[in-house]
Amino acid sequence: CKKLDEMNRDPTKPTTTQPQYLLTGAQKTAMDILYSGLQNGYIAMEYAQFWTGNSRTNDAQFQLDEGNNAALWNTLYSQSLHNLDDLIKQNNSKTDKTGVPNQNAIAMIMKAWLFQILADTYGNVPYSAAFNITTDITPAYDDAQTIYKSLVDSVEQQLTILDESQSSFNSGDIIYNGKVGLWKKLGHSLLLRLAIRMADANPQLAQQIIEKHYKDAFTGNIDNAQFTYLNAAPNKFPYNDSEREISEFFVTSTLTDYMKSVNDPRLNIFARPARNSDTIKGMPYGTSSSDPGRLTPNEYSFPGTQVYSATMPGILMTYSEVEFILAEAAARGWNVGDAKTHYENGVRASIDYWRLLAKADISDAAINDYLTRVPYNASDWRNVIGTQKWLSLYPQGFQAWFERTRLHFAKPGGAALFIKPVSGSVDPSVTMVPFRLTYLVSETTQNAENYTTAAQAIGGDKKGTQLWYNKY
Amino acid sequence: SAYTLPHGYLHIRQQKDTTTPVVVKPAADTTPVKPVKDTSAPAKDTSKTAPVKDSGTTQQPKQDTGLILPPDEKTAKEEVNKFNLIGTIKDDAGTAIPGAMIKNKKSGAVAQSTPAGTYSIKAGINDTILVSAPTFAEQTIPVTKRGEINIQLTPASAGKKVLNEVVVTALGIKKNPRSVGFAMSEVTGNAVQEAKEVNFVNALSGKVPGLQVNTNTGSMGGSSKITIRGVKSILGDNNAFFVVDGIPIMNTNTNQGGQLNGGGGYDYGSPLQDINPEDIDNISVLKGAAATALYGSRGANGVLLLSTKKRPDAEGGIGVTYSLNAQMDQVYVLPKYQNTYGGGGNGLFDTLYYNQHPEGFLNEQSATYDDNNGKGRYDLMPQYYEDQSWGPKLQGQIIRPYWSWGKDKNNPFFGQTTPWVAQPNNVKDFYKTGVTITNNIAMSGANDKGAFRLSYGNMDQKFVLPNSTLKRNNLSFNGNYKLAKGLTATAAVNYSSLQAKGRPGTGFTGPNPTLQFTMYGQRQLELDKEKIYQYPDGSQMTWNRRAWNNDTMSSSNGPYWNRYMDYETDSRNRMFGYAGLDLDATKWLTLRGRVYIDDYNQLEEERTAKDYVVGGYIKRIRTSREMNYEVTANAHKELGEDFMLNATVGGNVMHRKWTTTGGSTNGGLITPGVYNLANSVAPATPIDDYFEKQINSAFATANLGYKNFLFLDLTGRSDWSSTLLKGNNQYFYPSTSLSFVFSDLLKDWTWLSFGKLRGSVAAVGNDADPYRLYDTYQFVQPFGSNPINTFNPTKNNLDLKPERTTEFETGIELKFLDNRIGVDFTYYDKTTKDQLLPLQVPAATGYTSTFVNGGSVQNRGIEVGVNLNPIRLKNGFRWDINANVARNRNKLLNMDVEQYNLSLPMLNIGTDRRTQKVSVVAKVGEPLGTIMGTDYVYDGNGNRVVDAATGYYKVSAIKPIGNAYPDYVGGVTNSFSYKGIYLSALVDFQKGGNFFSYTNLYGEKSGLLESTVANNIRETGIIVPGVTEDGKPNEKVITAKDHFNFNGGNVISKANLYDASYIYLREVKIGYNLPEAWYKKIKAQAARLSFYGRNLWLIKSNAPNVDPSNIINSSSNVQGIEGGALPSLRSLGVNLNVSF
Repeated sequence: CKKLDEMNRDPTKPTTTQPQYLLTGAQKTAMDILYSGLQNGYIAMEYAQFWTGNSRTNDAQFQLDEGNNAALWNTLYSQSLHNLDDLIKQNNSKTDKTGVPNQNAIAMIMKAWLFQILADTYGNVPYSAAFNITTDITPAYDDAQTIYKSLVDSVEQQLTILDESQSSFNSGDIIYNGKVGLWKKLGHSLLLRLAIRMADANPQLAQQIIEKHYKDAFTGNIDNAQFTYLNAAPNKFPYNDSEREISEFFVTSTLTDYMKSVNDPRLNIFARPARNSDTIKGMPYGTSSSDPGRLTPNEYSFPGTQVYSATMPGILMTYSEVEFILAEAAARGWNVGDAKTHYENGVRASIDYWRLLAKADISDAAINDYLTRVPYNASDWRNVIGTQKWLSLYPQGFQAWFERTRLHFAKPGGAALFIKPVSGSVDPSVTMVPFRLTYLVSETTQNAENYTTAAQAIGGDKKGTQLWYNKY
Repeated sequence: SAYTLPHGYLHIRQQKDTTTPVVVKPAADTTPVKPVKDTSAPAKDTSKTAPVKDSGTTQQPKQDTGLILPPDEKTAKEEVNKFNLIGTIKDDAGTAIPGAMIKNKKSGAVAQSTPAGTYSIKAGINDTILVSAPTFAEQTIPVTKRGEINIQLTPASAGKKVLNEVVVTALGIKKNPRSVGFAMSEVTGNAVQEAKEVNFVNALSGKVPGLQVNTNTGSMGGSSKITIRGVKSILGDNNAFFVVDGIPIMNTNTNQGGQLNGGGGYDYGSPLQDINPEDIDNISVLKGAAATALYGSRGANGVLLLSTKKRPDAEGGIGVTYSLNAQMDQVYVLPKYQNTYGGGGNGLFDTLYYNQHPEGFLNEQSATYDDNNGKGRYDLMPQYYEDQSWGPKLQGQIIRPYWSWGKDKNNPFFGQTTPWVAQPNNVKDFYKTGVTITNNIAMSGANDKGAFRLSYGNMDQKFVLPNSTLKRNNLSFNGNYKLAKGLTATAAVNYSSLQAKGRPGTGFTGPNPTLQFTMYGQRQLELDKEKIYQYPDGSQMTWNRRAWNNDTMSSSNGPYWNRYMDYETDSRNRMFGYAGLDLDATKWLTLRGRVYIDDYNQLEEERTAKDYVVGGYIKRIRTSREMNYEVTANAHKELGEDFMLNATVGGNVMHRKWTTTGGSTNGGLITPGVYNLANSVAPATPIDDYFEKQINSAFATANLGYKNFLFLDLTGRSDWSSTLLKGNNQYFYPSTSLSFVFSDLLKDWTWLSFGKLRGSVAAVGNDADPYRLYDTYQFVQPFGSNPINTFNPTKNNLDLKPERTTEFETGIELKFLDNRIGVDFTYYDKTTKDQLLPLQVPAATGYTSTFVNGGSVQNRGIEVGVNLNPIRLKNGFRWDINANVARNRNKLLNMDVEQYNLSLPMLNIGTDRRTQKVSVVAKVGEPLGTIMGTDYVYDGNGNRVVDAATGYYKVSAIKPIGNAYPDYVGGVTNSFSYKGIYLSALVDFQKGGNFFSYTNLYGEKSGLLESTVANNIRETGIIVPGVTEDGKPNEKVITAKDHFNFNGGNVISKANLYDASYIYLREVKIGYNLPEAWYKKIKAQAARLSFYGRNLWLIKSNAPNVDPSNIINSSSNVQGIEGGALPSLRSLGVNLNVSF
């Protein structure tokens, strides 16, 4: 007969784990939620105006599904970031420190990646008070700009710690397989991403960071940070059509019409032909199913098969984004080289990425031709770079949405690219596009005081509240 | 032993000199023993009650029924001496019964009572006389002495117990009701036997004050939530605890998380339904803490104590009882559907031109339309892909239905057209007439060495849904045998086997038929075509195809595919029983040892067919075994002339172990139609959970009686639980109660038949579930060759301590005017503090919840039971009214979590699955079950504010909008008996309570309900009543569809929040005791035929489209969210009961 106090330990569950198991869990849970149809599809890809809903159209009219919203926040905090936090804490308590400095630095870089996404999605979020459940059950929110500064400091610090001569993760790192050099490049690249977001809000700091780090960032698609999914459940790309036909979304006419107008070689990868016409036709963004002008689903284009494939990678950051950041930096007059070169590198890198991934028959000559149709124009850099960067971020819905609101760009030449939802916005605070997601309903009860403070600090918990870096 | 009689108090001193056998004349105010209360249950067969022979000593009678007395050798010799047996025959109110038949069963002599109720018949010692009278239950009485036997007959089905009854209290201790110092109710087995429910407990609804039973009859064998005196635990289990003959019965809800709050899943129901209602003799409802303190932590929610039948129903030798029950079920409350518009999204048809797609037609001429505009002939097509009914008006247009495609699949209907017309009965006719047949045969016997009962029951239900059945077999045996003088061995074993197939899914899940009938779907579908759910090649023919040339489904299966291809099965085998020894050590001391077992295994299998989807299979095997080892010593002793002491001390060890094993397929099935975890495309995800806990207990109770009118009861129990850390794991439960039968001192008050005051205080507690102290990691499927661990999202806590409930209770019981009026009133006030709960915490802590002690809940309430007997006529006509009402007011006093120095304003109990806006919460200062959600915005005059630009209502922040729990509940039973015929009708009711309704929300959003066509709203649009922000009346016209989409419950929760009040004609029974002449022909000793109906008439309801008494998804605390409830059922049945 077991003693009473022995009986209450679950003999069938582990109480210890390995850092690499936590790392894999952090990477997978983050990518799964960032590329889920519910979060990326209904929120980010629609706010980026890449996609619009088929039968479920309220989201495109900016009615936020609170369940999807809660899952995004909760997963990133309680799973992805928590795993990383615990990985570091466990490593720090080890006596054998082999590999620990690199492992912890990698975890910190991943934390920076995810915290920036949270701060860009919501504004102020819990940061410094997070992950202390034994003492703090109601974590306070930090100012988003302060979080940014802290993330910059943190990543810069990790870059001094990362040491290619020391061991790191021998397994479990799906993104870079423990290669410290690549994590360093990602660190530098993420600093560029952090910096360019504050280009209008804090140009001096942005310039300083970018000029300091641009040379060590990604230099080719070979450096891309992405999580390569497997072709077997449950490790397939979260939103794939390998098990069923997906019909939740159409590509928007915003996307298809613009790509057609410049004969973009990526069009046939981003969208597939409508069933009835065998040609690509986007649906006007935000068309509800009751709109009498709406055609049957067979008349519209679904997203392309590549972004619905089981092995579509979960993209963390690509080389083309780095080039577009540098193009913008250069266009702003910062000392990072030639804007046109960076711009063209960005476009090439993006098309190159897709032709490799989708095994598309796009010749180098075709890319050069394309560049003549979308030439760099220093006087119109915001629209030129904005449009191409937007295209290059497909299907990274969150990054594309953030850049849409930050850069506030139109088509090259200034004609409007984006449209209001055809059937109207149902959120009075939003006319064109939400700047942020509202905080979780649960925060209003579980963390009421801090929630109220944060909501006031950012100017009201509305989707229409501009973030600190939104200056346009 | 379980068979021995209650101790002490039955041996009433005042009765000592009375030699009247068996049933005493109630007469008199001087009669000291009166029932503690009338049960509200109708129809107790008096032959089954156990009136007591007064032995005149404190020795226990040899057997548990005074009806059967063993022959005594001495007196047997006197048998030859016949004498004139005389006496009077009266009813339980003392009214003489003329014309009663008295028969000497031995000699066959017959006599009849006089108009004054007196009789005289020749008899001898050890003869048996049978007394019968119209409308009264027959009685068989052994003759044990010369002279006079006064006989009292009880109305056949008046729901009354005879005098001298005992009540069964905690740990099975039987007591004289007058000694009981807390409120309790007893219900006879008949209440759950005649008008059957698959789960017997559902038949208790409305019959016991303070006992609330919620269920959903439409969910075959679905969960029943059984609460006594409201809910006290914010997030813990609030369901009453069940004990059968001392065996604790596991009744754990095994539903999946998503199923509880309106999400998808199956409701596997309460395991309690394994109990065979035919075996139940008596149910004691122990409500308050004082009544249940002896059960320790398990009794905290009240206890239903079931005693099973142990003895022959009929007297002598081997008795056999057979009962047959046949029941018919039909859906009752269905939503009101609209039949004006068909499926579609924007009121239009799609078109298909022959010239463009000749392959879609039989030939050019078969295309229906030609606009003579050069485009050629074409057909109209509904928008198959739209899972809603905002389509074209149903005006007989000729269209191509979804079943007219699939040329390549050899569809015989290819190319056909059909008129676009209403199908008003396409939901109603989907549901069949359900049939439930129950057979039960029981055999029992007794002699002076022992007794046994063997029972076999078989229930076979064909449910109202296609392809759904529920079957149950019950086999039970119990027996006792006297091994030596004073030493009795006793044992019981109950085996049940339950098999279910095709339970409906609940909430938002494909297998819930209401999902596609009420929440989504197209109204014009022809049911007989839907029955053809497969093409000749076996693939699905669904109405929700993506396009005319794409057979795959857009989102919804057809209803018959769901029933026949995507179905679940489950089964449970269960064994519960006990074995033990009883030793009468001395005249006043009994020792008792028992081992109790409750062991079951359950198999759940959920299937999704491989077709347009990849298919899937989930298998779970649940095992549970609970053992209890209990030793008690019982003492009962008279202390001098006036005092009587009854005491019990004992100990118990409870050990429980339960597991869930199984898995779910990944990536679909390899081979269609094969449901095996090995048939998984990617390796199946295993399910492997293990739990174990133990509670060691010591307890003692003492009951001290003074002159049989004043009683003091003390109990104490200490538990040591394995689920808490040493230092926190012991907790003590004291209780004390006082009973004062003051009417004994007021004998001059002839109008007062009986009066008793009672009061009690008690403290009970609750331990944690296992494994809430130490943190562990969760397994996740590896990513390729990379293992993954993640955190358990709930943080465990080493500092947990038991939660505590303290309760004060007082009550009074009064009977007036010769028992024609009886009132029983109870007031209670209980507070539960240090609640054990998974506190939801901000995710930024790294967790979504953490186990803590916190919060304090108060429940105050009253329970009133009233018995009236307005009419009782000499000719035997009798009318009885039993009514009860209970009001429970609960309040969250605080939500303080000491450990974190935290005072929360509220605690979330559950949030609805779909809109994520409606939450059931506990809010400080307000009742538990507060429903939060968005509301309209109102101006200073109470007008709803409309956004001028859009024409939609403005939406408030989330705030309290209702409460899930009712203000009061109750029931009224009227019963009439006359000449062997018995009629009773139960009306139960609930006042107050709210629920948020998916049926109405999605039924309106999807254009299915009648309300979406009312007032020509689709043709003219709607200007919603309200004012714009500048105070002017709203003038903006919006479409009906937009109205329900943006002004409906998915935006404004309040728009689909309803009052849950109802008045229901719940049960009507007509019973008839067949005349002896009939049943004698088949050599039977008694026969009874009854007809009944349940859920007959929803007399009053304020909620549209659903039956507010039939909306629960599970027995969890997440109530008040109606997740697409299945339609409630109305049942009609017949019951035949024959004893041989």
